[in-house]
Amino acid sequence: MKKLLIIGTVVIAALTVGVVLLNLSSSHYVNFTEARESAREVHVGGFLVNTKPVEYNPEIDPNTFSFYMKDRTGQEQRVIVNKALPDGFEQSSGLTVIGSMNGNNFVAADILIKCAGSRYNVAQQ
Amino acid sequence: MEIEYIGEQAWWGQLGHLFVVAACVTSIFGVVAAALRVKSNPLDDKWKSTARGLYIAHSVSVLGIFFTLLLMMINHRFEYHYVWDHTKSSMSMKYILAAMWEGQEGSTLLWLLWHAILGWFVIRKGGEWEGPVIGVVSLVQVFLSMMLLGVYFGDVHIGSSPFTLIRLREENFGLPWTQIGDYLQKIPLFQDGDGLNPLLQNYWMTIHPPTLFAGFALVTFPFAYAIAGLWTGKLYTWQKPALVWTFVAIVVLGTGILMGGAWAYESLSFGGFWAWDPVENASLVPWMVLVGAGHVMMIHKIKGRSLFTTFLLTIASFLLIVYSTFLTKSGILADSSVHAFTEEGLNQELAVFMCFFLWLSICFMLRNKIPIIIYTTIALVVWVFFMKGYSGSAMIWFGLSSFAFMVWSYMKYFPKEEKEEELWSREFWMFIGSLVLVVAAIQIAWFTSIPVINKFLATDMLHSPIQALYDKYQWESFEELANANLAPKKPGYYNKWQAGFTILVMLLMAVGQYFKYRNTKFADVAKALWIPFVAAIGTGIILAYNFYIKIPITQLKPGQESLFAILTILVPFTVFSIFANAAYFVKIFKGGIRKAGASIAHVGFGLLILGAVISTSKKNTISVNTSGIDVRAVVNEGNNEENLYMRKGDTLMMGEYFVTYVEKEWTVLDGTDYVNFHVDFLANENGKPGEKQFRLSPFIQKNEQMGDAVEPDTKHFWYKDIYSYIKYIEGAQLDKRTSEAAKDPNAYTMPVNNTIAIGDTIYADNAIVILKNISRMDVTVDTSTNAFKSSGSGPVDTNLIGVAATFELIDRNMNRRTIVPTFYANKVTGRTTQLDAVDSISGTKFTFWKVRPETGEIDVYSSVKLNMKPDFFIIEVSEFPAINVLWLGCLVMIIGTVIAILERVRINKLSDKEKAPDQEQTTMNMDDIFRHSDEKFKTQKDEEANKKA
Repeated sequence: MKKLLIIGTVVIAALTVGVVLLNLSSSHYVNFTEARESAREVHVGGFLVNTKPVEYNPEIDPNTFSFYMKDRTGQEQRVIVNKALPDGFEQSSGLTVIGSMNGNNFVAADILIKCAGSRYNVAQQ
Repeated sequence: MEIEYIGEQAWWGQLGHLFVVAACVTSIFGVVAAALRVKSNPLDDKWKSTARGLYIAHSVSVLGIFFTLLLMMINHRFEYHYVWDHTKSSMSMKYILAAMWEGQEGSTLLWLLWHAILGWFVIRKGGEWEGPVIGVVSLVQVFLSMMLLGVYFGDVHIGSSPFTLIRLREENFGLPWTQIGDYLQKIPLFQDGDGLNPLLQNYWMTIHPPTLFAGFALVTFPFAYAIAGLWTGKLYTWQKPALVWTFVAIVVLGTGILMGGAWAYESLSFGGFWAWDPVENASLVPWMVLVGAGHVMMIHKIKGRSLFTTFLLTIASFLLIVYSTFLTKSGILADSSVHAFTEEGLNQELAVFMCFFLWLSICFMLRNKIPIIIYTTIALVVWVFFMKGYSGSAMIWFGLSSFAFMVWSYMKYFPKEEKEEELWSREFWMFIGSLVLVVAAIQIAWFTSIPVINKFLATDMLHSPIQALYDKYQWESFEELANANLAPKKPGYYNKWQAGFTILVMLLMAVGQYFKYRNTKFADVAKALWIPFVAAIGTGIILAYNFYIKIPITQLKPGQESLFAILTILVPFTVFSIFANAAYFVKIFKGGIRKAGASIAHVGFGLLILGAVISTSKKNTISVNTSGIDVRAVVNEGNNEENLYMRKGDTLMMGEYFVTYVEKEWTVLDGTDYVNFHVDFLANENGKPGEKQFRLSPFIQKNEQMGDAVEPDTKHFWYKDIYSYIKYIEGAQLDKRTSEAAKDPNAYTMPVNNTIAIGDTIYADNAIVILKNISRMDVTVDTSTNAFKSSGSGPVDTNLIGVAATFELIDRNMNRRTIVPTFYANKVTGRTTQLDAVDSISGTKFTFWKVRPETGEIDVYSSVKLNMKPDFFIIEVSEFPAINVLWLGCLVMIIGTVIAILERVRINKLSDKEKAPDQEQTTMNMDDIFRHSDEKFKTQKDEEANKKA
């Protein structure tokens, strides 16, 4: 039993220190103000600003599009994403961009899109 | 006044609801009957018929729920929300089942149904275990059927019913239209349903959820046996029947998970088969723990050791299934997962479900009244706080006290082996292997739970001390913990950690079977293993060298170095594991294929890992930009170059091929429109396009309501796949009418307005134009034609102001031209006129129609001739090398496990009938020394209890 007990203790200690504490903090959710102060990669959650243009010129660069996004504190920011424009982007109900500030733009390496559920809306009928 | 609703058939809902209530009530009584049955004398077993009768009634009720819902869907009862939300009348009947379990309630129903069906195997074959096992299963059914209840007790609502009329749903309470008797006729919305999400309209959606939920349901059975063992005091014998259930669950759940991966790869455009999405992880984690549990049960069966671990892992795997349901159904993952349910509402209920079974398991493990009472009191106090709204802190306290009581139960009630484990024995390394699996599962579970951890960190209980620590020491990690806004991990992070764990698993899998269930001479093992070892390390190093070492550092993406370093070690070990198990298979094959299940399954798992590792790490996107305009010259923001712009007729170089976009084709299948893009892959003959090799037709499924669905097309070779999908396409391109209209040579596209200043660029369809200059000009009138001219022989019209916008146009062939659209305003009449500038080569037209003197900007419409509008899309094409090794591995693993299960069933039958020692038991000799008899254990406990009292 001793061997297993020792192994168990070592494993649990290593888990706690290694997996849990050291690697917990690498990226976190922030708003754009905090993103400006952070040099690291961050997650910003928010919404697409529908009144401003979504720019995508696939013939010129199929791998980049840009748009304006409002974070949860209501701050607006131009975001550049190094990806093709995803399907249904304009209809999204929420966005999370992952990246960092670069000058006046937030450059996102990745983007998560929440699609608006198709709910009936009788009020509009 | 009571309103009479016309066209509504309320009886469907009432019938369905009745079945739900019946399922709920019969399962509650089923638990009671099981409890009485366990207490009663097993010889006359007088509660047997009552318990069975209730189980029959319960199964019938569950079938009733299922068929009522199915018939409602077939009959298009759109007055019901669930039917409206998931079906529509034009939908093909073959998707009716898919539609049924698309929603939250439907998937719960599927789970409920599987439990009800699988329970019959226990009734048929369970023998002495039938009573308590059915009791535990019924208890799980109580919670699941309550999730379909949809009733309110004051503010607390329990479950969500698929049998609710739309007008009776909470969000529609009191809305004016709910007071209209003929709302079904008047409101067009209710004429037809919303339908099934186009992404889900395929056979995968018909087979994947039932398989996955069958796996979920199967995990309940080992758990039920474990609880039954604790309940009846037969701590040492439940593992024998549970072992079969465990491995069946491993196969089915594993198949379900792999089907999810295959689905993602074959027909969803996720760009791979595994993305470490929280929803995927949530079903992988219980599977890994279950594999650990199965192996520990085997150790227990042969050696009588690791008793507590069999309980711990079996119970944990069930609780993890419930936890995974919590994660995917509570909406807590809404921010971090692409495909979790986002509707809130079942949050509390699922938390209670999970905590209840944790509480129950710990209570059964505490085999004495006093600690049970103490623990239950703590649980009740915590529950009161939970209901009062302190859910976060309550859960933390409950978790901590449960852990403490579990440790206590282990110290107090579970036998400790007096004898040290033998280091060079199979059981020792098998145990270590299970431990590695569990640790790997904890790593995945922990980081998948980050949204949950954030909730805990935000509670006062954790926030205040962490904030205090941060204030004192100013450590950055404390600040982040205090902010409670940790973000989920990227796939690369999981890949690295799991690759490390897999190295250990592969090594243990390779050597494990070469040890016997007792101390084995290391030299013997080495002798048997050295040939596969040398062969494997040789092969593995060659593979690893080719894949990971010989690539110049400069070609690696950031973060890839460390992953490739780990994989360089992992690949040889994986090959070793495959070779070693194959060699073992050959060695014992004389004993018949029946004995070879484990080695076959291990070879399969090794192949699966090898295929997964190589195809993921060596995924090669060949649709890189090799033509057209240099992107960086225009936009100085970086790009990842995965996607390629292709227009009709283009032939571009991609990897070892030339690729040409031939045409698009509109097809209709089951009332749904599809747009297929036919792309031919041609051979590369000395840098020139050659013979056609094959055609890929990635397509788009049209759906106006929910957005179009992109589906990939894949060419399978034995050594690699070529996978393609449409990344982006303009909406107009998918419209058949536009392509008809293009037949008119003078038709232009809808003009697009651009507000620009000098120096700005317009990206038109066929050209880029840059505004160079805006200038005033004198306007002369050509008297013969009465047309305006900026220069000419006629008299200058002083009433007219002319403005010329000079653009530089760059077409696709990089030819530059100047075009000048002009704008005129009459000072007297205020009338404005424009002269279009048309560039016939690119087919583009520019109309300058407004001046904004206040900002110095002008407004210009741009449009292009419909028949010259580029027919294009953005495509991603990737090569997945060795992906078939992955699928082959899946198949081999499933076959191997099924063989092992059949063998296990056979041995169990033999030992039940003749008490004949099975093959494995002849190889062990310590068995009886460690095996405590149940009676002895029970008396020990009773004595202790008496002492305490």
